[in-house]
Amino acid sequence: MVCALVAPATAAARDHPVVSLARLGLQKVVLVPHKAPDGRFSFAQSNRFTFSLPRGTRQGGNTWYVMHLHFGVEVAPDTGSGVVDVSASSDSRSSDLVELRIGRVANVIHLSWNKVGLIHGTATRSVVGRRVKLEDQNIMVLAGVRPGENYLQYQVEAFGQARLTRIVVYPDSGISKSSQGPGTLRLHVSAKPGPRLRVGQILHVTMNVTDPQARPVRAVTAGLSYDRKAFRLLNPPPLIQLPVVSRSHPYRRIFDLRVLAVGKPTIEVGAQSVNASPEATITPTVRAGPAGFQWNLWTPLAGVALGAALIIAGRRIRTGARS
Amino acid sequence: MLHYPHASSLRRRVLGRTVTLLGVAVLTCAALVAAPGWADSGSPAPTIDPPTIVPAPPGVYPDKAQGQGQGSKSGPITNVEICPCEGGGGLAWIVQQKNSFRNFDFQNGPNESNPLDWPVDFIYLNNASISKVQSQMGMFLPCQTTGVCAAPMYMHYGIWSSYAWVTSANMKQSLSACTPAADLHQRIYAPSGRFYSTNWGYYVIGTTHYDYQELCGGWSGKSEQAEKAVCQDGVVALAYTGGACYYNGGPVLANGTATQNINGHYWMNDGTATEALVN
Repeated sequence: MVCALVAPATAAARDHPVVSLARLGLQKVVLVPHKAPDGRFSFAQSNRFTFSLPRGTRQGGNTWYVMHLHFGVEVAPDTGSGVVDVSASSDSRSSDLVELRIGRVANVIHLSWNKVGLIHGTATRSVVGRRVKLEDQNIMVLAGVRPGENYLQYQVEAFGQARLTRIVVYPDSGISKSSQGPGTLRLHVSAKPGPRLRVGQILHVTMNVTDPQARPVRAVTAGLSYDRKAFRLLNPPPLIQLPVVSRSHPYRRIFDLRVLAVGKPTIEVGAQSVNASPEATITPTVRAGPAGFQWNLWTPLAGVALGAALIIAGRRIRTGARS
Repeated sequence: MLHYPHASSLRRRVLGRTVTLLGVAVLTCAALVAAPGWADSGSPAPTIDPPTIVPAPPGVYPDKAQGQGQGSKSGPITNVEICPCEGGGGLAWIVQQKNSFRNFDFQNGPNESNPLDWPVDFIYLNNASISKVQSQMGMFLPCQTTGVCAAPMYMHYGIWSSYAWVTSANMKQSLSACTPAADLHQRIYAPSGRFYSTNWGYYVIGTTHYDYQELCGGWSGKSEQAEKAVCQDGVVALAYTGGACYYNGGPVLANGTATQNINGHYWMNDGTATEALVN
């Protein structure tokens, strides 16, 4: 079973390799976890693979270092349910951590995995079987990039009843560098008709979520939260999951909210991702409906009364025609 | 000359049907007007000032600075009143690069109007995940899923959204209620099993306290002492994979409290978190 954790990042094509297991002359790295002394978990760590970075190297600014982790997991036939963490670090600073959950019901083994990072956001997938190949990239931590000698290392831990046969780290795993830093989110919010509203009016809230950076932001939740006694959202849902927000794929949406109550209610508009979570709060002032006749309340009632009267009158006319 | 004896009746039937149809049409219109989606025109007015949101720089954003710093949340926070916060501390948003979380957890449910439970006083960082911390710290805090050990609390981690809450994972020394000895209890939080930032790596946050004669009229709290005790445990528990623990070696989270027992809720915190390095 071969599964990419997510679609390979398009940015990866623009990355320049710095070090990989293949460049270090390694075909693969095999990790077989062993029980910790007190038996609470199993653990294995690879050798340290050294590489050098030039003077003045640092993470960020014009150059961003990216960790690439490509590995295969083989779960033991007698595994129970549990969790497996596979990570890649440089200089003992972790830059990629993929977590797998093993579920076992009778003889069926279910593997699900998730990751958290600045390239793919949060991603979760699953498969039925004992083997899976996963690929991931992440913007490295600051302390994992330094001039001079560095070392690359891989680690696996199994918790609960999880039992592993082995983990294989493939030779394309390593570090690349790129001019593209992590994506971020900008939020722009406007609302019509204005800050002063009356009960019964419709408030149109427009949100624009953009990513000014070259690298897209993935796994974004965008939307609004509001007091349900103060507003009714006419075009739900209030939240939406966006696979990606990028320069070429900004997100724009208009929310229509009917104003229900007098006061100073708040509406929070925002976006949530690993990369950024911008928010804006709108606090309109709501007064009672227009003085005098309240069309929004009485128009439907008047319509119902008139319609019913017309139907009854029509029937009477027809009844008169028959008699 | 042709004679149509039923012409008058026919006209009345046609008229009757027409009136009925008109009534149905009016009813339909009334239903459409009442249905969601109908918009009164409203008077055109200037658009509300459009805020452009710039990500907040790292730091602490107290709620009392409402509307000033990016990342602050409007609205009064009444539950701060039950916390004898001191030294300028109080409920605040901690903005850590692009992540954010509250510096206290909440009781009863994912709602900011609920009472505060305990101050955040622990950061497990570098290569931490909820599962890993629970497993490694399980050497000293093995009760994690049973009875009072698993009593959940709640962390609000996303500034903007009422939806961005996470329920605690628990680690406790002992299940025994009414124990005459103090019982260490730590709750840890992170969405999707861990946060990530380029300066802390993969991290989870925690609140720590003792339970003394729990459910038997005792008290809960003394977070500062509990934080130190859990860190001493962490020095041993995290060492197998090369980890370490530095008591009060973490960031200032502006959640210091007076040492005060308020109805069994024993506040005690210096406002500086412990850093636990997890490999």
